[in-house]
Amino acid sequence: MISSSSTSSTSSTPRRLVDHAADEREKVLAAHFRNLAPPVPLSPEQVDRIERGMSATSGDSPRRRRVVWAPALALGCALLAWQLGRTPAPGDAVVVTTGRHGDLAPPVEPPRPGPPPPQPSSPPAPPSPHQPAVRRQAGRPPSALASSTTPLQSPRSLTVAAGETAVLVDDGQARLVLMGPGDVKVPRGEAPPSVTLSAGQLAVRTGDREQAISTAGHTVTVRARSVAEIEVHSSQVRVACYSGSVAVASRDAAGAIDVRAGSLLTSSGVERTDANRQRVIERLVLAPPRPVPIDPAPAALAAPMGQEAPRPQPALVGEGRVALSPPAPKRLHEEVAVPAVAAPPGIRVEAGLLKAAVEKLRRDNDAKGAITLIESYRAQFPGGVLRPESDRLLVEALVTVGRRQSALALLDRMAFDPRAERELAVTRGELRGEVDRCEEARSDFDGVIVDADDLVEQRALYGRATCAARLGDTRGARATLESYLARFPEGAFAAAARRQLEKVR
Amino acid sequence: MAVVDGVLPTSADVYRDHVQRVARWVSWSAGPGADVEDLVQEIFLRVHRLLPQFRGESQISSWLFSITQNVVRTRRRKERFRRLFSFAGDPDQVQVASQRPTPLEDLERRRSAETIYAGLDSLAEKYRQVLILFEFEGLSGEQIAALTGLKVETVWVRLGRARKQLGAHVTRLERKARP
Repeated sequence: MISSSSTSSTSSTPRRLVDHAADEREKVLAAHFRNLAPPVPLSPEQVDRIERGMSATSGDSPRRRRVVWAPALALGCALLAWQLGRTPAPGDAVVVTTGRHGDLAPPVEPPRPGPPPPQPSSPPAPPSPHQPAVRRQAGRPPSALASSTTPLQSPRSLTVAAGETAVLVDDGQARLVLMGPGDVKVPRGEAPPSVTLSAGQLAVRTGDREQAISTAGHTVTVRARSVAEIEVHSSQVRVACYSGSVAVASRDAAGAIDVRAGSLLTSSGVERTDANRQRVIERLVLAPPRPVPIDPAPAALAAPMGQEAPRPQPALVGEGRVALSPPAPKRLHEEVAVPAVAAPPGIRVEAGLLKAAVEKLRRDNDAKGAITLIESYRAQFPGGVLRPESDRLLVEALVTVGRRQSALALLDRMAFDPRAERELAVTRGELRGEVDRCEEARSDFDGVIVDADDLVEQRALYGRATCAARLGDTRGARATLESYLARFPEGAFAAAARRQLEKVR
Repeated sequence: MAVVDGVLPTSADVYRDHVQRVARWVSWSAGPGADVEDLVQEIFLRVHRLLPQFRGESQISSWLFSITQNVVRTRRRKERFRRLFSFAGDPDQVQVASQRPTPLEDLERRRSAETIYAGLDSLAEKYRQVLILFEFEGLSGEQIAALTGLKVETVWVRLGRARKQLGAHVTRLERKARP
């Protein structure tokens, strides 16, 4: 071995520092070198994927790619300028986003491949103020959305079928979400108009001014800065108020009934609203307009207001619609539940996407691929009923690829019962401990220790001891380590616990 | 693999025979948080493009090693630039993938990696390269000389200087971290 001071000599062959460190400085380096994890060999799937990626791109040299990029960038800029020119001024335009339905406007030509119009200065005239417009986006990429804006044609009514959702946005003032099957009329030249709801369910979020909804038998006035849901069957109306307040006036009687936040008005009286339903509605009315998924309205949206959150098993409600609500959260390593065969298509699509992600993660050991799939699922279904499962799966995948801070950020946002989901809680504790949030980590570990004989218990005990030591509580650390060794003398952390015990003695 | 009777290996052969070794070089050289898969793909794309120009005057492994070093160096520069302009950088980029759930060992491993790679980043490329090959890859001086095209004596000189500079850097870091 030649130490750092003598390596310039060629008389003897140097040895690796981990085998022989001459002085204190080299010993420190050697200790760090020993701690470094050896690289993990590429898995066969990764080797295949790289090869596939190479064969897909090997024809393009970087120079050629640059050449292709330049016109593509120019094309993109020209398209953007053109689209900006076409997009109607916010004004009072009403934008209707529908799923498959298209009876409000003539079919919109899909964007044609090829160069954009040469003169961005000659776009079609945008709708005039108070001239509602229709946006249809089913089956088209979001980039094509702006080009498909056209004035709302007569008759100015909107009908959506079962499984469809229409979003009416009014200059940020109001947001109305019609869940199919349903039918509304939008008066001409008024914004925000007094919308007439003939049948179906309408979720409403108002801005600074109130929004009047007329039905056959009632007028429902959703006051400014309120969120409400209105359901109409022939002349009957059910009104749920989730925030703010709503006034419901009957055409046959004088005066109006005030429905306050958290109340549900039905023909049999006033009840409390359902918290789960409230979450669904808030997600709906707060979410920005987005491409409608393959099955645009998850059947959960069709669940009548005020109903208790149903379980994943399909349940027939009202007029033959199927109601589903978010299922109970699953454990980190539990398989994502695939709904029963009778589940509606929306749930099946969601479950299919997540199932593919689970397989990528656990069968193919491809966490990166799984993250891509989960993120695609979350973009497609921002309010999806399997969102809690996607959260848990994403945490697992992020931890697997070493993106531990992202995993922690996600876990910090998640609400779950540590006793019911011990593995998730212990993972959060470990991640918090790593970033010196030892107080919170200790509380996570404490919540998980339930006198069980499993690995989670071991992780929690060892993590708790580590945190105690780092918080300066050597007595607590020692006690926990001793308790760990007494309970798990051959446990996964037994050797490490013994080493730690030596340090805290 | 070598050039046999003037016949060049195909890029598929090179890929099949060397992908794991290149991945290992990439992991050691690029350090924690590197997207090894992406880098390996970039390296072999370059191999595919440059292979017709390879005349077999050097070992294919040395040729691959020099490509790997170039690609990794370019990527590290880009990353440094990106971090510089994003103020805090992406926190996940400085993390080390963990294979074990032991919190303390994970923590120690991560801290060691951060310390060592912070030190390696401060070394000149020629020193960094030799140190990684010798200390982490476990190659002998002769093997390093063959890979890098240096004389064995030069390898030892560079290794000595690399150790000295890294040791000083790590000591400084640890002194700073001590309360």
